[in-house]
Amino acid sequence: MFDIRKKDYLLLKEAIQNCRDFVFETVNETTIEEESSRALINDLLSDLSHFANDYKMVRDANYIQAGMLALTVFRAKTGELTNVSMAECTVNGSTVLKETTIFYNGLMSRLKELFCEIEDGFTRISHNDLRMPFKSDGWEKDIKKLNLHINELQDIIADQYGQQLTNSLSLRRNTFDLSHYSDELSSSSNEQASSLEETAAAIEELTANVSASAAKAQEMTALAQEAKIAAERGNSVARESLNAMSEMVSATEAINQAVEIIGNIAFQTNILSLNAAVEAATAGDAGRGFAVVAQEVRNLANRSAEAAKNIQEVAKTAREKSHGGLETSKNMMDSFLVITQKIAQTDDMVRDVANANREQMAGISQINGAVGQLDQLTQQNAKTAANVSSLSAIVQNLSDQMYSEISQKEFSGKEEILHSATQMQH
Amino acid sequence: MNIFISKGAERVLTEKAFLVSETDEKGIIIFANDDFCEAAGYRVDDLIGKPHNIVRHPDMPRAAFKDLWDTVKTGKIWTGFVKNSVNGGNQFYWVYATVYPIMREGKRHYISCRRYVTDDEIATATALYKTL
Repeated sequence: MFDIRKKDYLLLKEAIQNCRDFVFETVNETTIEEESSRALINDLLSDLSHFANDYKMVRDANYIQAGMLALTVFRAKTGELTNVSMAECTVNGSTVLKETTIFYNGLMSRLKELFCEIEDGFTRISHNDLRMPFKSDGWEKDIKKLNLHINELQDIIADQYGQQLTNSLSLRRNTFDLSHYSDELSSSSNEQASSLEETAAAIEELTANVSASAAKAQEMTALAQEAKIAAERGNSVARESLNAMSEMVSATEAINQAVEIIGNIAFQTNILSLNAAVEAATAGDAGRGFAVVAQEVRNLANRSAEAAKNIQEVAKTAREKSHGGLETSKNMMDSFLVITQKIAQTDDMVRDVANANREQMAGISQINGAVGQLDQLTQQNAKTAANVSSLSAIVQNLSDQMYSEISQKEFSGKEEILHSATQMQH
Repeated sequence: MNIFISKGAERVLTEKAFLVSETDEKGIIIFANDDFCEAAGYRVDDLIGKPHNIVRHPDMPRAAFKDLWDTVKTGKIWTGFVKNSVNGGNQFYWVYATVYPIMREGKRHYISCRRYVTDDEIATATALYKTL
């Protein structure tokens, strides 16, 4: 009863083969015609055709669903985490693909939760709150590890914030001190500059005094020279006077000797005239004239002796005077010698004074140079102080900014740092 | 493993090839997967934002696309054989396309999934399209 003709058998076999190719996707489409002359066979062929059409719905739905999955994965790969939307036709698709999609979507939802958690965490951090740890509830292994790492990172950042807060607090204190010191430096530099100015003025005055003193010393040297020459001239005049006095002494000696000879001659002449008078008396009248002459001779001899005696007196006085002049000249020479010595000493002293002045001038010029350098340094100091002052203002500003920035951040350990900073101030 | 083998001007897709693209309502490409990019010879950035007919081959009759749009606009799946151009126009590849309208963020988009075509099917489709 169920025997089948070969033609129908071949028709059915071909239709089954077509369905098989279609189901195994070695072809994309298949068409099964009801070509048999027998109704039962055509009924079977019609069933196969329906099967193929039904399967096409499943396959089309699977393709679409697979395509949706592919696009969602593509989006996920580019960083957009979304669920695979269920296309309307999906109801017709294979259960296994639908389940796969549901699994995938479950995974995506879970990942999205994780990302939301991480995003919230980072939002908290970006809003300066580092106190909440990231939750890794329900996550194990890789994700748990990731969360632990993030928490570690958060702790490290919190530590750094703590360090920054501590630093900014101490920086604020130090910049306050710095600004105070730089102000001090500035004012002391200014004071230094003005006292240096005074010093420079005093040195200028001193220089003028020393130069004036040097000029005087110069004049004194010249005067000493002139005095020396004058004294030497005085000395030589005194020497000439001494010589003249010596000659006068010898001359008076000679006069004395000559007068003594004259005295002797007058004495002998007197004796002779006495003898002549005696002789004349003896001669009588003849000798009377002669006695007169002898008397005249005797008178002349007495007058000569008188004159010689007078000359001797005068010469004696002259000799005494000459001796006095000689003494005086000697004294004068000695005095001139002393004067010359004193002048030489004065000259030496004046030279010493001039030398001392020169040395003083050199010293003053060195002091002047040093004062100039000091002045430059002081000006530089003042400038530096001003720079430090303005820099310290900038640093103060920055440290305030740093403090206000860091103090906005919330992290564990912050209160303790602030507390200990307040205690340090008290 | 390549998703196609070049035979002269034709790039013959292998069984593992699965080309997917999504367009907006006007046919502008929103997403394209790696297989599509490789087969069509584009980088993904070259495709996104371009109209899908960037890969259209001149041998394809208008009627085929009209049928496609008419079908998917009524919310039904369209399947069919399509000859596409490779970037540069010197090569082509045949696909069996399954196109379906989907909703993406409240807007109608289209998704197209393409697989390889057998030689017999190419011959049949070529013959058919010549008549259209």
